[in-house]
Amino acid sequence: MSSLVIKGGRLVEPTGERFADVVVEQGIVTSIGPSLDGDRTLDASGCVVGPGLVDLGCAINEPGLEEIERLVETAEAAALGGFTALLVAPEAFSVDSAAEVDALAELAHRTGPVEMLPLGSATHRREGARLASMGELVDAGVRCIGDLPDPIGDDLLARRVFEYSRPFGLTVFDQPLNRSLAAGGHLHEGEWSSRLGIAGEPAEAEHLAVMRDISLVGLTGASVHLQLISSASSVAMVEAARSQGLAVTASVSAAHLTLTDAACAGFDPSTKLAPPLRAEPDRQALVDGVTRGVISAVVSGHRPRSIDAKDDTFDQSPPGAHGLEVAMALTLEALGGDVAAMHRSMSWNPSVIAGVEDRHGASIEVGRPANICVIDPNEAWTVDARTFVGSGAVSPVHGRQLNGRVRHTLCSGVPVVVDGDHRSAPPSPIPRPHLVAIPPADPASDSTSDLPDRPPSKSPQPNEEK
Amino acid sequence: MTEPGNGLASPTTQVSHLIDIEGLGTEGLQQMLSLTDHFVEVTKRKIPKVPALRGRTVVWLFYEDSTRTRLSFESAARRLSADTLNFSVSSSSVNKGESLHDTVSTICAMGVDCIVVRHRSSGAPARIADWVDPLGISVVNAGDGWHQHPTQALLDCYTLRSKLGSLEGRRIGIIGDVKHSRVARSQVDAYRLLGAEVVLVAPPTLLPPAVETWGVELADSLDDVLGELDVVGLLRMQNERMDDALVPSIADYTATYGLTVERAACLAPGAVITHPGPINRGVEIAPEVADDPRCLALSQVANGVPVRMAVLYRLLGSGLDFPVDR
Repeated sequence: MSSLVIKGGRLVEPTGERFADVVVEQGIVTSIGPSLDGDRTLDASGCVVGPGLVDLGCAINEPGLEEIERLVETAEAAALGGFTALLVAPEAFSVDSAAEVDALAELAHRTGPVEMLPLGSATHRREGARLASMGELVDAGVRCIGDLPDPIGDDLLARRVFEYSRPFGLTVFDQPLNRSLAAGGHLHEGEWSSRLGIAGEPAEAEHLAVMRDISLVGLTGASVHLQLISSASSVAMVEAARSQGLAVTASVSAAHLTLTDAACAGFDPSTKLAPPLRAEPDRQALVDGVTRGVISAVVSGHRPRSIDAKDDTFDQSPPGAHGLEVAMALTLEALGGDVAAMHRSMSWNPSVIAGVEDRHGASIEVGRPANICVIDPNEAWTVDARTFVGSGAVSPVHGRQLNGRVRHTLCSGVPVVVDGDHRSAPPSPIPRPHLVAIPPADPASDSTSDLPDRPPSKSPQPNEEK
Repeated sequence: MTEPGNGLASPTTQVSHLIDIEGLGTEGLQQMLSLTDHFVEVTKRKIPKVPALRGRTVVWLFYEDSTRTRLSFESAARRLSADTLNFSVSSSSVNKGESLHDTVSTICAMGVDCIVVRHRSSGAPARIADWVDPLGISVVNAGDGWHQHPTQALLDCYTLRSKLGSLEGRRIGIIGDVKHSRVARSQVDAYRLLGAEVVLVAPPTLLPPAVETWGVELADSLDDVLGELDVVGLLRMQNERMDDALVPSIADYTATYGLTVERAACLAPGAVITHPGPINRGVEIAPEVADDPRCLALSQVANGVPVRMAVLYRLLGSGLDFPVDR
């Protein structure tokens, strides 16, 4: 049986860093230590070797909107960005039954070894009227539900979703947005919306929803993840809720850590995101929130749009941009190059929230599945959206100089990106998808993260060959 | 990508587009007003036409209804001997779902020198300028969304300068629906560039967000500031603002913010009134006041033509000087 060694890198772990080589056999880490050898060598000199990144905020367009991005393109972009697992929120359909979970798993399986975890619907068909079939979804392996990119708008329905989800150990993802107050807004309501004469979306439209969700967590005891918070006040509210012991987590997109609404000054629709890019004090508060662990996760916010749709006026173009291939480098930039902080917010914490910490995130240890990304933190590169995978390749950071790039990505031991190129990776047998039933809660958690307690998952070995 | 303020550059550089007032800068604004003087002289001639833009083609791309602005531009272009084309949106392929970019590409392929665009979306002229700049085609913003209406501000400045002399230190009130007004945004930029103090008077629901970043004063009551203004700049009040719960009723608005006969009597000596038109008689301005000689609305319209001649000439003509023959 052939072995692969990641050689010469610095291993980054929650407890610190050390120089070590990593040997991978049959999808499993089999040896860690100095001067190891294998049949195949991946050079990691000058690089940090860490767990593969886990994205909690990735929209997918297949099935239904393949012309924007096919699932195989999503997977390729993810691998190039260092991600080994994606919590995927479909744009064009809902995941509301075991059959839909299976169908998506089958599609995802064909794209390769990047693991795609479907975000189940929170409400039936994501219509915001009745509860989704949570029990059925949990049996099918779903750990997280939500109506993303839409909020759960109705207050009473949100309460019911939170209540009903709790015994299943589900985490409810909500996009905090008060639609009534946000109506008609295209960018952050502030200096730039004022100058550009474009209707703004006030940060208060987010604050009201954050406040509601936190109140309802207090009422119901549910575990809720506030997806893509964007403002300073939201950070403060999340911090207060967490200090009270409420099971609230939050994420921010990498773009929001590095850009403000000033990026919209030229009416460039690639800077139109949802939630909108906000003001500089908000950006600073978000970075501070990630640094201090108030915001648990940084997500790619990957939401590709067709180039045609974006080739319009600012108000007419839809929000969203390509995020997977730039998220890691943007986060590194925002966090001052702190690789461990990046891993905490893009791998360790998200793996716990997504319930995949048995095979993603955490430390690279002997016996664990080899979901690994190798990053050269010092490689300087210029973002060129035209080179992104997929046809929906617009980016608000097009042309920007970034430091830090993925050199290799291994998914369940399969090198899907080698030397920064997914095409140079050899064809490999595709492991089965990792959708498995979730056993009842086990209070004994050995989580390495700073997240609130939640039932850990116990899954079978995920790397079994087909 | 077009940066904010990508308007006319300094005279030594290649002038390409007029997108907003900020891009003109004080110097560019002053130059444009001086150039307008020449064209005012042209419009007073027996045959008010010069061959300055002979052989140049200007296309009107109006996605919003407009009568006065279009006629004014049309008149300006003809007096400069330019050929004009009208892209009528209502009867065009736009109604068949053609994208803005495709429409613009089609127009460019016909061989035009300048696109004068009015669009309901803020930033549309800036986007078009991004697309056509490599082709050497100029773009003039004839009003985009709530963003800018730079030729309106230029003609306002020209009218006020003709009436009051320098605007340096003058107090200019802008009264009404500032939030949804491209005229107000352009006026604020232009008046401030010329050294005037700007006071905004509007119900808070019709003030733009973050207005404190605009470098203007705010007044809650028109009556508080009326006596100290050199210029009372009125904005058109739209009926639909009631439906959006921005004002309780037009009557309520008029009672508090309308320039009534009584309020007009409180104006400082020498103060003037501007209005971009069309006027809502009895709403933002009493009919008697609209017909008062202090109201410059018709002078503004008259100055619109030479101002737009100056703009087209700056963008398409041979240069800053005015060498045109009779």
